[in-house]
Amino acid sequence: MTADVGLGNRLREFRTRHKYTQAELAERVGVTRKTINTVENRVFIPSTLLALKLAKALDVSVEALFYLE
Amino acid sequence: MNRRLLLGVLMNMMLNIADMSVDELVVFRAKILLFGALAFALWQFGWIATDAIANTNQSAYGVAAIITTLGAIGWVTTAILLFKLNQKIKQADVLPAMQDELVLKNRSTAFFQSYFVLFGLVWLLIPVMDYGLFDIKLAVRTIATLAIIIPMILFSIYELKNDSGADE
Repeated sequence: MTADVGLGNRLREFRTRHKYTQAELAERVGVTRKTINTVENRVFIPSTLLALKLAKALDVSVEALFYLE
Repeated sequence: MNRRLLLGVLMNMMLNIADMSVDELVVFRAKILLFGALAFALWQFGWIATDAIANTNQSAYGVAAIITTLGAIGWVTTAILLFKLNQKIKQADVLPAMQDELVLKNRSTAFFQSYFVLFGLVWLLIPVMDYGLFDIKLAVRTIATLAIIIPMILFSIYELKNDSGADE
């Protein structure tokens, strides 16, 4: 695996599908709205625990939510 | 009159804390820390200045003493605001969100970068000491003050930046 592999996500897509705002999703997983925003914008790579929490809150698998690019 | 005004501003800020969302609390915490860093810098650098110019310039000494007092008042204000903020965080039961992994990452980045800055300053002291141009005690106090304010400033900046493209 090369070092330039990044982590992509479909967080915004799934969040809007569930009609959640960033703040609502943040409240569901126990983080700040900014954390959700920075994950969506790929500024911040979440931990495995947060990735699992996000996937559970959006009722999708982690693989559907996050992918290597 | 000024004391009443200051108390009024403080009371207003404390009352407003009660209505804040998690998002606003995060921003408020960052602003308190920025204010605290400024106040601590004024207090300590003013104090260092009063010690450095104690027997030389009386008017400069007076200005430094006023800056020291203002900084100390600001630092006490910061402590009160942080106390009220912590009370609100506990009441609202939002401590996990206020210390989520992004916050922890920002905090560790701020401390890590501050460590290198201070490490550099301590190393810089070694050759500068050879010239004997200044009081080593004052230099160490300056570095100790920077050790407090640099992490506070960096953490606040990281907490306030990278929030583009946010929605409701």
